[in-house]
Amino acid sequence: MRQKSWSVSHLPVIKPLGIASLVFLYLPLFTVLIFSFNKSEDATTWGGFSTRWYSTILENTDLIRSAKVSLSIAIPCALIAALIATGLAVGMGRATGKVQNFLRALVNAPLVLPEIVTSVGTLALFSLVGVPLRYSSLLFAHVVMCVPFAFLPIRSRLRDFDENIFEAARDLGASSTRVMMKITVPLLVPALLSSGLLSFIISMDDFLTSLFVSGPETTTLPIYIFGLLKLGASPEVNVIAALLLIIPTLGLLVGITWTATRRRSNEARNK
Amino acid sequence: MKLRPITQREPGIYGPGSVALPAYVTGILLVGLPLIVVIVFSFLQRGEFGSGVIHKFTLDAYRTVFFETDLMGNQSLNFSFLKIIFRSIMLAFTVTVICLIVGIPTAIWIALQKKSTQRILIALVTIPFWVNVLARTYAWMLLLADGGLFNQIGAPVLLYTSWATFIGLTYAFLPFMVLPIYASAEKLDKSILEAAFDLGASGWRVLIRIVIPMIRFGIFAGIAIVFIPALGAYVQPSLLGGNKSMLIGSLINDQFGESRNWPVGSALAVLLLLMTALILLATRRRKLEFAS
Repeated sequence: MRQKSWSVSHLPVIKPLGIASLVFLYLPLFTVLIFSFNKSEDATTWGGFSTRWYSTILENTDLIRSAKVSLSIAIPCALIAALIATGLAVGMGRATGKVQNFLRALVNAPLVLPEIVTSVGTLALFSLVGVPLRYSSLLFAHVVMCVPFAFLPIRSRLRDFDENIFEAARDLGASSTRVMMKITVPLLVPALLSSGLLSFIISMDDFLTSLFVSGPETTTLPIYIFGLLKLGASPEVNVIAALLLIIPTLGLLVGITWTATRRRSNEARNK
Repeated sequence: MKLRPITQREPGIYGPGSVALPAYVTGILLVGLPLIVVIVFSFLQRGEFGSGVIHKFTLDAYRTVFFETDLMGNQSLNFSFLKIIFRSIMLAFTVTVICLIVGIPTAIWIALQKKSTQRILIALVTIPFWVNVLARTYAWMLLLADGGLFNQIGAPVLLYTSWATFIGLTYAFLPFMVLPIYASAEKLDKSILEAAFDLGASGWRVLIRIVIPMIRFGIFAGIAIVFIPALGAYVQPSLLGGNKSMLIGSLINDQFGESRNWPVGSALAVLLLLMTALILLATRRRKLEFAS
């Protein structure tokens, strides 16, 4: 009988489809990236290398204004969402009561509900109660959407800890507030950063909720860009799309490298 | 000072329970309440100037979705809305199936690599998910347009057809399928596959009889998180699909915008909500059956 060490290639179709899906995921992204350096006036015909379209978008005041609106929402949104999510994870602890489970499911519902339903609902509620569609209403709509995402890294970090640390502190007489301030929050700092970053990206990217809940003064970047895309491909949009691709990717790479080095130094310390 | 038994588990081990209050309040006021308002609005009358509602109970909205009344007052099934709903379900179904066919092998392939390679490949699958959905959709506009790159090498122009919507949605949701399946495939014990292979099982047999049953939870999770957003998608259909093939997401948007019939829009949202609940129940029930 033939003796051969086992490998992935013994399973059929696994490897070619795996590689194909990576190509499928990256082909469009690289196309946008390459065509953002296109010299031609025609968005889809290659006319040589140039960075001319990058300089034109700096003069696009509408674009810059909408980017500022998006930032002015995404930054406070990230802070508030991370705080609320931390409160939920810390305050709920490992409680499994029916009421708590229901409330947790409610807070996390935006994760599974189609966004169009939640955004239409928010619009309907705001109009019923008479909340004007301004900055603060849009900010809160974004916060609600981001909290379930912000909750994920915090909960998974809390689960990694030895429960005995907290129990020991309580048994030695620390109040629950003291446990939170002296133990829980300091341990959660890295998770807080990733949950804030997650919320920031989600808020910056959000289109549908902003479409329904924003008023005339709160045209966010995605709403402005959607309007441009409705008109079809253009060299200017190539550049905008390329920037939307480069900026979060760089952020993500920095984040991944940072956690990898942290993990390595932690492993080294534990040895 | 009160001493407490060490085994006692209570909500407050990480801090006071009251710090969860802001989350509960936002959950109730801004997630629960909007859903209730949508359900209530779907049973109300259309506002006089289109926008908003009149607070009077009626089933008109649902009647408009399912039936149409002709000039003689006869009611018949309203196929224009039903067709849109049916089309949305079929499209979401096809997208989910294709994501399964591509996503399952991809996830298994990644899970069977070295640990360091796995991390890189998972990062590669995750990155497109973090790129703005408008940028990702635009990339397909470039590729599929008349005179676009695929057209330049002889492919037919697919932009502004259902095909483009289908490609755009599959592209957007493939990472959603790969990640949960990877999470369960990662725990696969390779020695079991090796043993089956040594005992003479063919590759297909190992895949279908061993690997796929072992990663079924990931597959169910993937189905739910691809099908649900695909069903209510708005961005890809409206940018890639053109006007001829409307989907439920655009229809809801229309009712709250141009057509100005909030009760009908709410009724459609309620239908979407019901379908979502069905999918969640179906994928959860399965999980329990297998677990027991």
